[in-house]
Amino acid sequence: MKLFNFSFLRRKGFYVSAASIVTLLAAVISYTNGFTGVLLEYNSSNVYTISLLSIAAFAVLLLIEFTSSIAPVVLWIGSFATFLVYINNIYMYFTGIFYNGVSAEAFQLIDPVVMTSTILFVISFVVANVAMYMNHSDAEEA
Amino acid sequence: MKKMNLISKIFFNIFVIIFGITTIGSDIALANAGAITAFLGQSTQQIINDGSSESIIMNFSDFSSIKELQSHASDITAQVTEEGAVLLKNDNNALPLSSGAKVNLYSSSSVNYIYSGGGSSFAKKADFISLKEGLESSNFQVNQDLWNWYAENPSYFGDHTSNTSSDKAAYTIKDAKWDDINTAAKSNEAEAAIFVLSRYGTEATDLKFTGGSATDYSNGNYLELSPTEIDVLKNLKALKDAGKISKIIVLLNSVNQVECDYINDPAYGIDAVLWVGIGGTSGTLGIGRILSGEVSPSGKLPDTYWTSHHYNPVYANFGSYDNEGEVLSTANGGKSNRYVVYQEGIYLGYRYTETRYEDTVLGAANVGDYDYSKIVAYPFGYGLSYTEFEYTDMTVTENKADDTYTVTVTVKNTGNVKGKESVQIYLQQPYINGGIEKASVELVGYAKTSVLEPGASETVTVTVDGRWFASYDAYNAKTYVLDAGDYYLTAAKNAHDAINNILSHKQNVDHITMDSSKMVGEGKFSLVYKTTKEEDKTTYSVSKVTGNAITNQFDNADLNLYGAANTANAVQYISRNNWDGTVKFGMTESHALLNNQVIVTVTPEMVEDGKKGSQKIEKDDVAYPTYGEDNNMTLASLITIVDGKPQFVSFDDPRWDALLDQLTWEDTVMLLSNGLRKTFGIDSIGKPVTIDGNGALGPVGGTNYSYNDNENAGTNRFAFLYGDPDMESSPISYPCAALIAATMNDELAFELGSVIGEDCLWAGYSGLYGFGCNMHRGTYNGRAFEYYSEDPMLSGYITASQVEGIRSEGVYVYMKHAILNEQEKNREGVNTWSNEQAIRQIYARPFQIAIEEAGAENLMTGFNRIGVQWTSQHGFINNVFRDEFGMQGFAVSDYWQNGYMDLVGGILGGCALPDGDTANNAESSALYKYSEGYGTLAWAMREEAHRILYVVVNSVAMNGYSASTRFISITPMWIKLLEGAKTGVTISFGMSAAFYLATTILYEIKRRA
Repeated sequence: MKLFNFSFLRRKGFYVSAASIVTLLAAVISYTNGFTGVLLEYNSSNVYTISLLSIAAFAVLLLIEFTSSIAPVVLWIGSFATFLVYINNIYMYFTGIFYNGVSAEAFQLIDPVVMTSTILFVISFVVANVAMYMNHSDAEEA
Repeated sequence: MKKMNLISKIFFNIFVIIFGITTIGSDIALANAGAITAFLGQSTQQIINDGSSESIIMNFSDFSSIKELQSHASDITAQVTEEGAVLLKNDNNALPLSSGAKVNLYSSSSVNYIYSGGGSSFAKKADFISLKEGLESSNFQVNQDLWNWYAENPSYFGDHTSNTSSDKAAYTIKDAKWDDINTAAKSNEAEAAIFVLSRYGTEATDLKFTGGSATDYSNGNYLELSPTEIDVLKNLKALKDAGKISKIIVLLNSVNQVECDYINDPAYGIDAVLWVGIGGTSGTLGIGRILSGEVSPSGKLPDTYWTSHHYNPVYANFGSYDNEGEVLSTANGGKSNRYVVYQEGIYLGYRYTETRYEDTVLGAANVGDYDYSKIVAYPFGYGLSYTEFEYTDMTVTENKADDTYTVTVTVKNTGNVKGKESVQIYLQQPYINGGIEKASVELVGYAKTSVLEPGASETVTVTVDGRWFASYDAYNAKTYVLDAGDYYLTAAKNAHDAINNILSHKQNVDHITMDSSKMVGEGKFSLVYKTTKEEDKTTYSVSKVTGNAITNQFDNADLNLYGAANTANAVQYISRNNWDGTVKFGMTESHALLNNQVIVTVTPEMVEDGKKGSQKIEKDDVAYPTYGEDNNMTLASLITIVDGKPQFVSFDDPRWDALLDQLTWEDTVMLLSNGLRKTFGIDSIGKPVTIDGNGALGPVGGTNYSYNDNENAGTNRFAFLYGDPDMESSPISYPCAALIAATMNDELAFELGSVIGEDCLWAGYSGLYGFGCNMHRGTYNGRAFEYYSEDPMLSGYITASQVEGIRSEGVYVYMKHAILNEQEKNREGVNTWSNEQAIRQIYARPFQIAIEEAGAENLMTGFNRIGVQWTSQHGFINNVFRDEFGMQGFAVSDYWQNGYMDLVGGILGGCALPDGDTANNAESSALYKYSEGYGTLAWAMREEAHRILYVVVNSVAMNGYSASTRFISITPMWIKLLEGAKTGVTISFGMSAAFYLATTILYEIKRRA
């Protein structure tokens, strides 16, 4: 019985997870660097802490043969939790934007950094959700 | 097993999503529980009246139904426009128009008219009386085709709804060019073309004075004519030249002054201009009555109207400026790396234009190149009428006993139609070169006549407080000082008229040499009273109200006194002694930015001082107050009822101690942690929840009378309790503050305050987050429509009248936004610097007058900082507003934000409440942990609790309760349901997780086997 799993490199699932990780990192970079100035109050270290921990956990779990099957599940939970914590920090911003109701004009007022970060976080956890139903090792395929 | 594992994974997936959304969603919901509870109309307190004690009846409504109330409110609102609209120009008596005249309305704003501003004063549009309806009600024939065309083409409408906390709110003018107006109706013959020139203002963002839209306003300046408006006006001139119309009338539908250089430009051929401000639901009725001549205009400008705003030195320091060096945000919870310096000092508006004008005429040194007639289009206090008034027989009596001056003036209507007139009394104090700064004229009082028929006279009386003769000396005496010299009082028709009267006196009576060729206009020395005073540094160094000593309290807001060793931050305020050297401008004639702002470099002292209260608080040995005593008292038991009328409960009533001893620590913490447009209910002392309306102009905010249909609104919610059929309608939109100020009519302001109070009663509000007492420092302030004037005395006296009106209904007020909150840009946390003289004589004075004259109870503080400290923790509430002005109520913060706002700092600074709900239970409050070792804080908390209870017990909030009424806190149904759902989801999530883990492990074991 192998202790470590390196077969993930041959599996599409891994690359979908990797795409999710890249998107998540892009979202975190956008959030960390873009939420400054008037957006500073919506910047929370919890967002990038959770995301980085989930990526690390994914990597460790994936490398271990016995836990490789739950690695993408942990990544998805992490990216989803990151998104939720992000929303928890930023919802007051949206109450300001949509103070007079939801309209096309109001959407145009959303800061590009906020829009970019939000879209990237959503893509990340959706892609991770897809990836968790894909195999990440030969053993799973068996 | 593999299939089972997949199924369990799907279940787990679903429940993770549900669990995550439920967890975060409930966190957000509970953090905003107060707002949600109010929205859902649910109660947090159950009220049990056993009838064993006599009920307190604070107030009945004067109205029997909402319809009746709204009808009265609409009448008052129309009257405000009748008396507040200012006739700026009326060549060849273009106005009034003939009876039944045909009129064409031009500009998309004629249809897309501005009735209210945006933000917390934003009002629903449904019930507004359109301009067309307003004119038709005065029998004008409005060109229907043209009206329909504009109405059917909303793509030409400017944006009158934006409100956002981001930097991106866009003001737009749009409008249709002459060629775009695709109808022959545009050139139909009519007596008058009425061009509506509108500009909008909204909370959270200022108007652009540079760098704005290049298409809408070519110079990037929102307050100039747009290319499209120029196009239409020029074509109207052509229409007039062709004989199709005989007059061009402009209605100025804005509080933010559009630059006035166009008014007398022959290219536009404008015959008459009427400033109508933002008039609320029914202001257009007043416009119709003025245009028809039914009413003669009597409004007076509440602000100076500049030919171009680039002449106004305020704009050298109005906008967004980043501190040099280390930003404060890390130490202070963010939002403090920007600043603004009020470098103009006391020389705001006409205090600048008229003072420099006088110095020019008198040939003062360093007056520089100053051409008054090129700069000022219309002075503060200006306003024409359809008739003429003559002032005679001015007398002044000094009343030494109460240190007041009684001024009387006889006003005669010398014209041919009836009308009212506002008499303005101005004061000039002696200026000593290099001494305390003094404006050449300051408004110190006003009075409005009744309607005078042609030939009729009336003698008006104005009482002037002797305190206004003193000025604040922040750098030497550090208190109010009466300088030795000559003091002049004059009755005038506007600020420029006032200084001309005084100059006339100086020339003809005092025989002072001057260059009269530089005078613009003439004065009447017969309308001047002169008195000579000796220097006095003691009389005004104590508060007339409280007897407390008055001394510097804002050294930490003045960069010249704060951090004395740091000369890099020294400010050269505008000084009469050196106009040429101290006046800076912010933009060129074409509105290009000049970057002449004061530079501020952050110092270590600023970082330390700017820390939040909770970062700086230290333990002490002060013994705590008594908590949780059983003294068998309730809040209502403090009220004595005599002949059915509840008696006033004094703030110093000795029974307060026993009542306050009944509060537990948890009660106190919860009371002071939750204040989102309410005060928290406390069962142990029988304190009801109270609900406060939000809106500087009235309880609008888009809510209906039925909004508070729950027990939290007590027995004031007449709309609900009476089952009024119109309870789903909303209170009307009231006029902007500037229009009220322009009436210079205290009685009308009282009536308006009273009817706003009635609205509060019917909607279930005990208090109102209003009125707006900030100054018109820069007219590009997005929120200028909520504030009265550039003059603090006019702002203060009109506010006082409105406060008296609303207080007559038992409703309390939260004047806002205290203080130095004169721009929206960077309002959250901006470091605001000024000097103490300007702060006291300009920016705090409206609040002072409303507190001292009308007993205004409460404040809302600003989002900004004073110097480096958040307004709520600065200390001015205790040291100035309470100790000097005698304010007895409490303060609430502006909309609560975690980060730079801080409960501990607020309470120690005298601010009782956050405008937010910060704790669902005592243990979760930021205050709870201070239950031991922080006695000073505990006593401050008790003091703030006392002030809240004092205001509530003397308000309409006690309506219908009695000494035996019991209050029982209850959890709103939605929270119970939410908590139940959360528990169910958590269990399901746990089970799905266990199921998934189990199948995964089993699957792995089986696979390996």
